[in-house]
This record gives sequence, structure tokens and C-alpha cells, in this order.
Amino acid sequence: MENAYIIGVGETPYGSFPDRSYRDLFAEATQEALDSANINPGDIDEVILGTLGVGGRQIGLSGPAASTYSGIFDVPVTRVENACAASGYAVRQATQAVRSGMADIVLAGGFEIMTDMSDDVAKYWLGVSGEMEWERLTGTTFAGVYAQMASAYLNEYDVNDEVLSQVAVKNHGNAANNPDAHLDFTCTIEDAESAPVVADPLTLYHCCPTTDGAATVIVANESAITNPEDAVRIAGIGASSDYVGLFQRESYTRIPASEQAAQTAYERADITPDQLDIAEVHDCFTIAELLAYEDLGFCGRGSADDLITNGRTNPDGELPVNMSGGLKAKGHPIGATGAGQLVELYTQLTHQAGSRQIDSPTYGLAHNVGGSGGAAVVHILEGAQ
Amino acid sequence: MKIHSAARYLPRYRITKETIENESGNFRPAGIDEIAVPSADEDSLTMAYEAGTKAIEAGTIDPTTIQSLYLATTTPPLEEEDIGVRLAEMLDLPSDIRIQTLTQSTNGIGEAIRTAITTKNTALIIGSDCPHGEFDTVLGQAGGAGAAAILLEEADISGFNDFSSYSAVFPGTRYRERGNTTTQQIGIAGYEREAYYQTISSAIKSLDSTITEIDAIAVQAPNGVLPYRIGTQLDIAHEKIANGTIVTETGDLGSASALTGLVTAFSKDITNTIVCTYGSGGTATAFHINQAGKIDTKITDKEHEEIGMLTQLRQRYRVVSPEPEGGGAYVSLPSWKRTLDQRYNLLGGKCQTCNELVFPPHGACPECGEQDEYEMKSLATEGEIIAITEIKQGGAPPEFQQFQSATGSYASAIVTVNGPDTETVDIPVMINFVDSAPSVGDHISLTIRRLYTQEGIPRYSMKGVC
Repeated sequence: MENAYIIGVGETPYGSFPDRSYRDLFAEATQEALDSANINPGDIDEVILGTLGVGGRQIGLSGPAASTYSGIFDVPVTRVENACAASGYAVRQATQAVRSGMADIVLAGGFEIMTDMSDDVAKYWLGVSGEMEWERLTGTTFAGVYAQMASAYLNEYDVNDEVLSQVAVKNHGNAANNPDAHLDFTCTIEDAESAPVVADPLTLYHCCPTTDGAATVIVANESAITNPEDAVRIAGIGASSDYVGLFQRESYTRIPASEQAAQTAYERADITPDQLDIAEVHDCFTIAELLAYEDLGFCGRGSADDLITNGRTNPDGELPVNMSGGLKAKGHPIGATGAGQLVELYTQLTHQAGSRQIDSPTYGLAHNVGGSGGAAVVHILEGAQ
Repeated sequence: MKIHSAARYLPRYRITKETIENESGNFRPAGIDEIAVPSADEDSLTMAYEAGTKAIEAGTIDPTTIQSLYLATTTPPLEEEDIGVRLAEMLDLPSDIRIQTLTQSTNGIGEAIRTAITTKNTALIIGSDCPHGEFDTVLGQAGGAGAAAILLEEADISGFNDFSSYSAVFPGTRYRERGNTTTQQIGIAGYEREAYYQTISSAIKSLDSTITEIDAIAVQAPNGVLPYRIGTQLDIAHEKIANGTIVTETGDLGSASALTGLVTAFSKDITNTIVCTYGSGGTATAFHINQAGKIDTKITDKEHEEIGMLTQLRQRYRVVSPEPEGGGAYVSLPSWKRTLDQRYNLLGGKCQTCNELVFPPHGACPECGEQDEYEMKSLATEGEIIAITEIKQGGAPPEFQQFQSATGSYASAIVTVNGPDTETVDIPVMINFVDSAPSVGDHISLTIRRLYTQEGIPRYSMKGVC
């Protein structure tokens, strides 16, 4: 099977842009990706994009609605829906298309507008990826479901809940170095601990914001590469699924779909977790980053607190995690998030990350979760040596 | 006709006369010290479930043999639609049961008992009410909440010695205008008293029994003075009135008033009683019950929790914003209906292939993957909390925002419950707690409460309560 590469990326700033449309944001990210890859809209063979359609905008045919606005015509366009993992899965589908030989160059990405509606309407929409008949009807949104996982995790491993705030402090610190981050300011442990409780034990600072934004990547085969230094190989992808409702899963202290996706991705990339140089993990709530450390094999079960407490995932640690600020502070425009993680990895692996560039990375991992673990996809990228 | 078993349910919140007096400037109902206040997810249907299920538990009658269900309430959760049908489903009663729901008058409970006696069925009779008036009215201040149930045996007619009814027209003594949610009184004290005395005294006097020989009289009690005046009029000792009267500690219980008094007397092992129900309009129905032996009675009052005026107003949704507009998360009524065996009766499924206990029992077995081959099994209505979060301001989905405002906070949890054998299964549960949210490892009891309202139709489900 052919290798697939990311040869260019584009991303809007993440933030609150109620005066912009989803098409406008997607077009900006697309143009940036085309420029980055030095190709034209006519070079795109196929478009695969993800969005949840928060607010109910253009739920049907949102793919062509966005691609035509971006000047891409007469090609197959598909929308992928897997909640917060939508564009991670879009990139996976794009990679399949390239590897199979059906396409040479595929545009993959996603978008979301989440801030042009009242909090109440937004909350209705944030809940639509939870399990509708049982889980949501216990009166919970995703903050509550992740808070349940936090309660089980902290209880099982007897961990102090300060670790939840330590993740927030690290990721806010990283976002402060990212001019495109939504919450680009630092915070302290005290800020995080004293913030209003959203769903105990999670405070406001333990939760990602609702964000507007778009992100795209260009996935291509070897023949499309013009500058090998700017091509990043998609070394391995894994994906898996599980029950949508937490109460039906085999564990509340890990996300089995993430574990399975990671295992497959490592096998396909033929590397082990200790070979990673950087990771972007799905930290929609700070507990999720701690679970990810363990699900992705960065550490053993119950030892995530050691990684965060001892700075091992800090920018100067052995495995910097969420250099972009993560979902927590860079922001979480649902449909764009998975592709946005790959934009950060690509930027780092091609040494274009400016002040937040880490030293000589080779392997990067992106971990994108749908809902509270109903879907997960893991990409491992390999930069040019 | 014999009373086989009985039960009484009162909600746990209480507000005292002094609190209302201090915080609103006056307290006008006579002879009432405390008001029982329903929790934000309780109503006449959930309280009827509590009393009904406990009356069944108190006795030995197989619920599948119950032939008639009577529910009397002046505050049904819906103005039209027979909520008795939902009650029968919640109590897991047979589908050929005869159901009568009486809502027009607080005397409905008397009519229910009378119909049951003359029908001679095995019958479950429940009075459940939470009278609702404007807070600056006598009725609004006096309105309490509670329910009582009696289960009548078909074969034995020895319990009810005598009964009588009396009606005389007295419009305006207690009424609710069409389209209005609050009950009112015309406010002519002498006229209202006359309606009460004339109908009740006449009904009791019409009994053949010698009323001086009874040990308790349970009479409709809009306040804590009127029943004793009836006692004075009929030359019945105040102690006997006290044996069948709880209005002083609960407030006006409407359609449940006389029946809760009667069941309270049963709980004191007093069975030679008169019960007299009364309703505006006006009608009264009296019964003499003199049953040999003890009546198995469950009093399921929870530990009292005293609350202030603002908490009372919040729990009753008087100071809570309407549900916000939105859209998106939608469970259709047919979808909801398909899950009622789980919502009301907590039925899990045992996989016919691998014996795994599954909840909800739909779809492929999580253990072996076989499709929909489940044998229904009752799950325990209590369990251990495995994961939990307390949902506070801003954390609730829009359809639960009103409930969160009314209660301050609630919890969403995963609870492990036992199946019929040694196996367990995890279920998702909303928890309405009083003091502080429980933690992982704590035990929780489940019961049916109102969950939320969609398209104007209230929906009920098993919830955790502590």
C-alpha cells in the first residue's frame, strides 16, 4: 500500500467569531492549506470534512456547502460525523483514499461555530453526542460524564484532585505561547481550584471552552510531494469505538476505544510510546488528559499524576503534551479539533512552530476522542529525518 | 370488605408556622404547626406511587390479583389524561385492572372507598395531594403534601361496618377556575364553616353505628381546628379526633387528608374508626371501620428536613425561571414508552446465551454479542455508587435547568445494582439529595420521581433519593 503524507496544513485562529460563518472559516483554513502545500483548488481530488453542526446549521450536505464556498468544485465531498472526533476520522478516511489509490490529493478537516447562540442552545447541542435515552436523562452533559470518570479515577487510585488543576496550568501556559489559541492566558493552581464548580470535581478551569474555528490538512501520496522537508508521513493510524454511554463500558477509569486505537497506531507505525517526541491529546476536560496518558501508554495505570506533577509532559519534559494549549486552552471547535491537533503536529515536525517549537521532533501522536469515548482515533506522524 | 394493609407517605421537607410567619409577615391557617413540602421532583403521582407500593409491600396480596385501582387527587400532574394508568404501570398492576381517577373534589377519596366497597373487588385505594394556592391566601399557606393507601381484600367484608354520604350545595367553598393552577376559596368564613359542619356532621350522623364507641375519627382536615369542632358537635372526645388527625404536622393534604389520618390511626393499632371525607360543592362520605386484629401498616415518612421560605418557594417552582428554549436533545414519546419497564420497574435482561445481566436489555449482548435474547429480571432498587458528579449552576442540560434551580444542585451517577442472583449490573441514575451529594462507595435507594417534562408531558423514572 502507498504511503500517505501530510503536505500542507491550514487553520484559523480559535476563538469567538460570531460575525463569521462556518463557510468563511473553512475557506480560510483551506486557502492556508493550499498555500502551505503549494497547490491549487483544482488539484484536490476529494474532500472529507467533519462537523457536528452545532446550532443546527446546515446539518445535511454541510460538506459541499463548505467546499464550494472554498472554490473546490466537481469532486466527491463527504461529511464525517463522530462528534468531537469528526475531523480526526476525516483525516483517517482521507488517508485510506490516498493509500488505496482512489485519490492522489485529499483535503481533510473540519469546522464548528459554537459561540453565536445562547448558552442554553449551545448546551442542547453539546449534549447531542451523549447517550440520549439514559445517560443524558440523568441530567448530565459531557462535563458531568467526565466528572464521573474523574470521581471513579481519583477514588480508585487515591489521587489528590489537584492533578486536575495541574493539567490546566500546563495547557494554559502552552496556549499563552500560541497566538491562535482561544484562551491564550496563563492560570495558577489557585485560579483553577477556586473557579466555579461546573460538575464536581471539575471546575470551570478544568473544562475546555466552546470555540469557533476551522482546520484542514492536505493528505497526499508520494507523487504529490514537491518539498520533502515539508512532508510528514502518516506512519500509523488506529481507531476504535465503544458504547456511547459511559455506564455501559467496561471501565470508568480508562477509555477502551483510546487504548485500542493507540495500540493499532503503534503497531502500524512500528514504534513504541517511548519513541514519541510530542503528543496532542484530547483534553476536553483535564481528567481526559490524565486518562490519555495511561490509555496511550505514556505511563502505567494509576501513574498519570507522576507525569504531570513531575513536569514530564511540560514543554521541556521528555514528552511535551498539548504544546498548542490542547482543547483545554487552544479551544475545542468540535468538528475542527482532530484536524487542528494534526496541524500542530505538522507544524512542530516541520520546525515551523516558532516560540513553542520543541527540539528536533521525529514522531508525534494525535489523539482525538468522540464524546466521552464512543469513538477514538490516533494518528502517529513521522517528520522528515 | 377487609382492609388488608395500608401505608402513608409524607415528603421530608417541612416548613414551620414560625418560619412562614417571620418571613412573610403572617400565617393564617388555624391549628397548623408545620407544612409538609413536596420535593421539586415530587407530585401527586409520585407520592401515590410511594404510598401504593408500600401498602402492597405491607401485606401479602399478590399485586397481579388487584382488580381495581382508585386514585383521588385534586392536583393531577395533567388536567386531562388519566394518570391512574401511569400509576398502575408504575405499581406493575395487571393490564385488565379497573382504574378510576377522581380529581374534582377532595371528597373523591370517599367516593373511591365507597365504590370499592360496593364493587367488592380486591382494590388499591390511594389519596395523594399537594394543594396549591396563592401564598398570601389561607389555602396557599396551609397546602401540604402527602399520600395514603389502603388495600382491600375481595373475599372478606368484615371490616367496613357501615357507610353513608351526604350532599348539600355549597358553591365556592374550595374551587379552581378553568385554566387556573391555584385553588381558591370565596373567603366567607361562616358560609365555609357551615358547608363543612353540615355535610360532615350529617354524613357521620347517618351512620348506623354508635359513634361514641369508636377509638379514632379521621375527618377531612383543612386546618387543625375544624376537625375538633366536629368532635365537639358530635360529642366525640378530642383524643379520638387526635388519633386520626395529622394536619397539625403536615398542613392540608386535600384528597389525602382523611385517609392519611385513618392510616395514622391504623399505625397506632387503632382499628375501630370512623373516617369522613369532605369536599367542596359540598359532599361528605363517612365510613365506620371496625376490623378485628391489627392492620399491617407502613409509615414511610422520611426523616424531616426543616427548610426556609425561599427553599420552599424554589422546591415548588414558584421562583424558578421557565425552561429555556433550545432544541437538539430529543427523546420521542414512543421511544420513551419503550423504556417504561426500565424507568418504572427497573427490569434488566439476562442474556439467554451467556447469562450476562444487561441494562437496558436491548441490542446485542455486551458479553457474547447475541441479539436481543433477554429474559427480563427485576433489579434491586438500591445499589452502590461507582461514579458520581454533582451538577451545579451552569452544569445542567437545559431540560434539567429548572430542576437544578429548584434544588440548588443534584447528582448524576452510575450505580451498581444486584440482579436476582449473584450478578450485578451498572445503571445510570439521577440523584436528588438533601444535604450533600453522596460519594463513590455510598449506597443509594431508588424510587420513582418526576424526571422532566417534554412537550408539556411530565415523564417519570427511577431516581436516587437521599
